[in-house]
Amino acid sequence: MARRKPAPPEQSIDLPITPMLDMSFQLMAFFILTFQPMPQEGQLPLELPSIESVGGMQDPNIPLDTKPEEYTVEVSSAGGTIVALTIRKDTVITPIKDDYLETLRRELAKVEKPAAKKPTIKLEVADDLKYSVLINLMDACKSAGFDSIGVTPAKK
Amino acid sequence: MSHGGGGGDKPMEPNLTPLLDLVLQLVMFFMLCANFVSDQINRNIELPEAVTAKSLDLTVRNVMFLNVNEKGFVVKQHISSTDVEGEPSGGGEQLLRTPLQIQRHLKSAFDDKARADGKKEAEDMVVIIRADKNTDFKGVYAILKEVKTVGFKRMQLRAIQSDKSFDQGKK
Repeated sequence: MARRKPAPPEQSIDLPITPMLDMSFQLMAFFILTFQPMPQEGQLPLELPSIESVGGMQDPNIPLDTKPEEYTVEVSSAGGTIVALTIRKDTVITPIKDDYLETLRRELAKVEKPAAKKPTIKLEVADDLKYSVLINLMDACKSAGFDSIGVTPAKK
Repeated sequence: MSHGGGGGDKPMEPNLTPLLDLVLQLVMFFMLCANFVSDQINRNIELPEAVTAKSLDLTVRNVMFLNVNEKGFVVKQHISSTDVEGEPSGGGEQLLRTPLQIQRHLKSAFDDKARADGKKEAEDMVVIIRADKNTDFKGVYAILKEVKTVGFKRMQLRAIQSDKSFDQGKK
């Protein structure tokens, strides 16, 4: 009489999850410790004019064949910081206090800006002025309503 | 009727598989957010803050990055051993110190783009200048002049978006 062999007992295969979890925690700890969120960058768009000019940078919306009124702001500096601002040779902001940007913005905001012929700002900047201060000045000019801002080195 | 008493000696183990899934999701998140070394963004450069800086236009693809350190030198990511322009500064970077080196670098990029996609595309390429906040105006201005000389027409200055008001004193 043939006997049937009994079926082998079912064996379940258990994956060792605990070591995998440990390794995952290690990886996660590495990426958490090396994670550095980037500060939010913004852009200040510029367009270089096609005609040769003295270091002019201009907003692309201003066509080059118009002649807008130009306001010159002379920036005098010493050791990289501003010592005086002269607007169109008649308004001088000195000594420079902490709110000099707000003062500049207020003075420039008084200028009439007709839609047809928007005036432009030309910043004459000393060579040793810090770039961050220049950006602050451009900020103040834009906040005062000037879209077209030119930057040139100060006359020596 | 028997009341269930001790049903055997099976140890109770928590189910670790969902926990592992969750941990792997977190690892994926941090891996995707990790900022590895890139020739576009240089972490050593501290950008200035600007209130009127606009949000980035991510649709613009035709771009070229110029990272400028506080000494006014362009920091160029070293690509290969044959790329010998400029001086090595360690860490796979090269410094372009002189206007001539900067002009050569820009001209090379301009010519490559013009050859590949035409002169118009090269002129429309946006040159993104990431200058350190402590750079002197003289250094930045020299770079702007070189960008203009080579033939580029569009530029962007990068800054950190700030929500400070002007009377908070930024000297």
